[in-house]
Amino acid sequence: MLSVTLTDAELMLLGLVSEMPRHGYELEQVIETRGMREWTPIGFSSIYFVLGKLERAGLVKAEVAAGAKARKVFSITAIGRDALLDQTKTALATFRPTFSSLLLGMTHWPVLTRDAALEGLEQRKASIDAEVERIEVLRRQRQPMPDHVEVLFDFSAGQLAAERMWITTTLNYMRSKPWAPME
Amino acid sequence: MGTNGMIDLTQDRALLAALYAPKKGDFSQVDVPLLPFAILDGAGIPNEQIVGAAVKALYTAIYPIRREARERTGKAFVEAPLEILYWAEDMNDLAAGRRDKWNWRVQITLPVWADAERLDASVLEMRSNLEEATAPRWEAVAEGTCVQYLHVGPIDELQTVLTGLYGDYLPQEGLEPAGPYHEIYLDDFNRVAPANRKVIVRQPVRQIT
Repeated sequence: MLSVTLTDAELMLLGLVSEMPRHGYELEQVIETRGMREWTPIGFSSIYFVLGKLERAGLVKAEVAAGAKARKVFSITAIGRDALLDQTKTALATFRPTFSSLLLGMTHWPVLTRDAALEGLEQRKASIDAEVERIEVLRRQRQPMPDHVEVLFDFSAGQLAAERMWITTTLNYMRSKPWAPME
Repeated sequence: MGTNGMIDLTQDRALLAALYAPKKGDFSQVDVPLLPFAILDGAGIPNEQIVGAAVKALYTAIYPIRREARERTGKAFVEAPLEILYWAEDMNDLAAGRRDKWNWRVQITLPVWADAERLDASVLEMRSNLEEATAPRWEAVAEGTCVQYLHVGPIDELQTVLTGLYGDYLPQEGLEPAGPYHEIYLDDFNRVAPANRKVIVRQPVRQIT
């Protein structure tokens, strides 16, 4: 099999089409209802662009449904299913680093005054708390969701909890650490 | 046994399988014990939109209970499926598909520890998400002896199953319906293609005397 590497948007649409044949507008609705833009940003118009790419690569096929509304209905091909299995496995198996603004912020810590730096981290803690709250609201709004999606919310909440704990520890340390007077 | 003398299905895997994972392609008889449910009685003609809204409200209302169940049972957690009951004053209206004459009810089995009070607390917690939706009620129901059938495929094929059930199987076994017709949806219709959808058809029965 030809190894293909799909972009996140391609893999997302391939997965949705594999559930059942769907037309473009339906895909837009599913993405919206399930809040999938949380993880994979895709504009409405790029849905058709990505579907076109998948079709040319032979991963999906399009049929024009009979009826008054002649809409293209996309379904997955055998090659498409192979690619979906392969790429989903890779997505689960491979760690992909995401770079937090924290890295640059901490690297440049000494350019700030002590108070400004500490205040920055305090604000980060507040924005983490807001994000925890937002995710909790979302997960309640989106019921019912299958358990393999529910655990994704556990994942996000766990990441945020870990970061919050790190901030608390670091704030305590930085506060008690002697601070060199600025020139 | 759980509280209230009800069976904890997460502890009795054989019964769980008999009730929610029957073998495909055969009518079978099963004794359905007393089980606790969150129930929403339907109002209006059961079309996709109206039933869909009731299903969403039911799942939303019991969400804190499901979450607690997941935390309590860990890897032994089992997601309870959606169930819908249909009945009519005149059973011919049901058979003829005159939906405006149908009564319906959506329900989901609850863990044995989730009593009426727990359900009320759950609803209260979710009130803002539920908006104007009616709150489900708690009820323990024992369907008793039932005939059931696991169907895999498009829902409109169920007509053939029902013809076989009411026209052949029940008369052959000397049985008659003794309660509302019942469908249990093992798949989310938003995520599973019509050809792969699994539905258990269940009909409470009694011996014809």
